[in-house]
Amino acid sequence: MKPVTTKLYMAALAITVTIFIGAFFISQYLNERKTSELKAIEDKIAIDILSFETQFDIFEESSCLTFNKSSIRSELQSLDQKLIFLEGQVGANDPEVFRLKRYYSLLQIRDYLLTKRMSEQCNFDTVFLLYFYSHENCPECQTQEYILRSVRDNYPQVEIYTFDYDVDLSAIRTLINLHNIPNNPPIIDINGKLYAPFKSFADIEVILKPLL
Amino acid sequence: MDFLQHIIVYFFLFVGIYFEVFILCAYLIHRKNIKADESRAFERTSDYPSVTIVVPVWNEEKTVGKTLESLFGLNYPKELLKITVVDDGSIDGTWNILQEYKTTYPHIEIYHKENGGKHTAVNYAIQRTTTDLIGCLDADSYVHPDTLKKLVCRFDDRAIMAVTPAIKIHNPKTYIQRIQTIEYAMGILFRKVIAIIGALHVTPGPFTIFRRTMFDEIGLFRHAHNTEDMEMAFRMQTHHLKIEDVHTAWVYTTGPNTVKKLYKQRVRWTYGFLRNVWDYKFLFLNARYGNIGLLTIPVAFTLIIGVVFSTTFFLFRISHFIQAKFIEWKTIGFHWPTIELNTFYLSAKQSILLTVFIFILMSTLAYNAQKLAKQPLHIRRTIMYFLTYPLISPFWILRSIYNVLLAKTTSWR
Repeated sequence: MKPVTTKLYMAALAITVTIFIGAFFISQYLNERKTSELKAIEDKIAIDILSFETQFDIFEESSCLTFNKSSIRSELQSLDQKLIFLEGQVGANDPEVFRLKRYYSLLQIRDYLLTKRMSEQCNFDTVFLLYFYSHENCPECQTQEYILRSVRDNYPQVEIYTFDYDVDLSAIRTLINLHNIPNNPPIIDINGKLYAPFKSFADIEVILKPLL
Repeated sequence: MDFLQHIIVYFFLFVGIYFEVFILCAYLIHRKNIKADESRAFERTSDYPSVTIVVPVWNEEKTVGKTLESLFGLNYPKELLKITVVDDGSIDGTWNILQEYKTTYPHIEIYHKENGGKHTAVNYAIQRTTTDLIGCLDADSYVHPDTLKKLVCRFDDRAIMAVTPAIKIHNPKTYIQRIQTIEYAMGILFRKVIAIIGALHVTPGPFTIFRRTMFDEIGLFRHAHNTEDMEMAFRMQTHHLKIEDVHTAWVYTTGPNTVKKLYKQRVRWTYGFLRNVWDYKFLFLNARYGNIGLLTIPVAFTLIIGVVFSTTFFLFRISHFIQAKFIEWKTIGFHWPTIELNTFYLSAKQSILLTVFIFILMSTLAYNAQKLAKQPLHIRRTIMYFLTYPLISPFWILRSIYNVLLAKTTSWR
């Protein structure tokens, strides 16, 4: 029987377990910080939208001249990217990420309604693109996301809003009902007209160009 | 499926970290003894045992001369040192060179036999010698003048049956040889620690010295999938024979100078390891055989399987990425990826943090290993080693497993 260095095995085990637990808590802490960062961005966007709404209510048509919500748009886009990243890190089922996503969807709807209202009152030719996707069983969603990214790059004047069809939020359900969105995402709604999944960027350009 | 994948990833991360922590702890605990070992006296006034150094050669006309010169330069009483060269059926000018050496240095013994493999050449010499100790030196390796004395003095302990040296890369010229200097330095530290806990699984071909009587007890070298030095260590461990390591006894070996040659050598080593593990499977997780059964073999085996898993996982992810890029290209054309420099996008996944920790531990080991091997600290080489080996080692590991599964044998060269 050869001697076995039991103490060494136990010490290495204790240290390894400590490293694992440490990594778990560091990971939790860093992800919580990221979540807090997103929460702060969402709060800022909420205040910005509320500020625009209030401004619009006070000055009515006269505020058309000063209407510029590019900062909200870039913040919403940045938030969208960060949410996608965080979702990939901690999983779509994480309750905090899910809550942030619901809040984000709500902010998008608020922004959509504000922009629509202002466009109508100020006679802006705004093109609204609503994209409904799903995380489950949606093989064509990836292609639509590439196309929308290209639209964002080439036609920055198009107002794009993306909604997860599966997020259980009454506001999204109302939007789905109002726009008669069928339950088979991906669905793209351009100025109230529904389109089946696009195959390429050229296909969507054909629709967008006459509207711009 | 995702859950299972998570379990597998964390299992391999756990084994990897556990082994590194174990080695580092063992090294730190024994550091004082290891330091004291460095200043241990090896010179004596008399009472040196007689030693035979066997040089098995096969088509080594370019290197055998230098190997012999390094043996002639050994700081050891000449009357007690026998150099035996066995030509294992060379078909180049090796035999002629050996005869020329014999004329100049008549005290060397040279033999010529039919080709039968390195172990047959070593056995041929062992059977014809009566010295107390026997060692072997490959014809592509060279020894430091004090190495033999440093190894021999350990045989004062009657229980010790073999003593292994510290192997370094000789005159590294190419990129592949330079990164091997880090690998070999780490090998010196690992072997030292593993030897302290009595769990060595290899008695390296270049210049391990054996007590001759040991061969009477457990037999000569056997054909063992071209890794006879590994099989000998396994056999010694099963007989509970003690193997010591001297990290200051330097032997220089010529490392493969191209990726192709390195690949071939490592396929032979990994294949040999797997076949020997199979031949000695009763050692696996067997506490009767101490730390070799509980640590060395299970960890090495698990890490080999871990490399297969991570390579498969990596290829799966890469194929997904390529597929996504292809769809993107088909849909919107080629787009350079835009990277937003923001700390938010630094991954905080537990598995990523643990992988970073593995590299921190590896760097700590590499630093200590280079200090222990008394070689200058090469930060760039260390980084290149860490970047290169994970990319190339899966190839030889996968090939070795393929060879094992299909019962394909590997060649020596």
